[in-house]
Amino acid sequence: MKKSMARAFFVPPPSLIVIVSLPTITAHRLQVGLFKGSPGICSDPKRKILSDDHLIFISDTTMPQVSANAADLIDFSAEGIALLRSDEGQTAKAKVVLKSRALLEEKHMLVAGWRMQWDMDPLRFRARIADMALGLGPGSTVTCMNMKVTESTGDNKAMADICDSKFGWEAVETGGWRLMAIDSQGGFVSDETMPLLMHFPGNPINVPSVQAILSKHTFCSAIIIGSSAVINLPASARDTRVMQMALVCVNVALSSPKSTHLAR
Amino acid sequence: MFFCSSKPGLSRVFLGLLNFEVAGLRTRVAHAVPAGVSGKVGGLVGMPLGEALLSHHWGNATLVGVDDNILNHPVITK
Repeated sequence: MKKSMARAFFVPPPSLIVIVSLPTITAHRLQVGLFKGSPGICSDPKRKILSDDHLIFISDTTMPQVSANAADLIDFSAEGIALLRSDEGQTAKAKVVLKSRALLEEKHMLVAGWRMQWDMDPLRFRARIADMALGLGPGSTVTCMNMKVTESTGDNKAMADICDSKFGWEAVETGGWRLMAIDSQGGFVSDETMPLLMHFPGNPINVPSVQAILSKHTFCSAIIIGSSAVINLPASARDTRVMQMALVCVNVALSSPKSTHLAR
Repeated sequence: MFFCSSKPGLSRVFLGLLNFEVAGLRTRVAHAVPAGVSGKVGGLVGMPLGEALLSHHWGNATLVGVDDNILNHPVITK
């Protein structure tokens, strides 16, 4: 594709455009001033390039090559600039929008394991689930399987504390918590199309626990987290735990009478 | 990881960008990179990033960002 990113917005369908940074995230970063002079991908457009800065680019060669037809790549003529600013050009850009969540498929996801950092900052947990929710249609569920239970009673109050309304969750009568949307003022609002979070207490490397959850639910994807809710493991142990969980899931799925698609 | 789990095609895009088999994410020091209509080496130095995005005139690459000199980053030691 021999087009600059700016010109790429004007390619006719069905061409594919990959948007590296979500507009809402970019707008938020601009608003709070995080963008100013910041380095990285999609960084501050006003940042001046210094001699020893490193340019980041997507290329099929290690060094970018100037086009022999450079003048053809970007139209700096009056007509070209007018096209960029015209209603036609703006309409073409407006068509590049994120697909509405209402049109997405219903999916069921499993999150096996837990990060202790989420106990200290529940909004980080919410942010991870909100990331996932961008690709989940109405009726979707996210099931967390971990050892996060209240020691004295064995119930999921410890999970309920993380999924509190002040962290952007609402309890559902049938069980579980629904992720709340964020309104234009930055507050949490109820949204029926958001995924439902459910908790399944159990150790994801324990075969009976995995058999129990897979006999009750069918999942589209599973996220396997090496860290545990009850013990702070060293990096090597977390790697081993991830491999154990993957093997247990494959073993249980293969021995299950239900047809399961395994991507290995 | 969480975003990719609900967008299965996205992991393939990231892998494609990182595995260097075809077009991938790469980095080069600004003063060594040819750019501009005349292909001047270091042609983007002194230019704001927003302007550089429209002025690099590369035929096989797209500029996506700029980073500080990585040699200036603090070295993390255990």
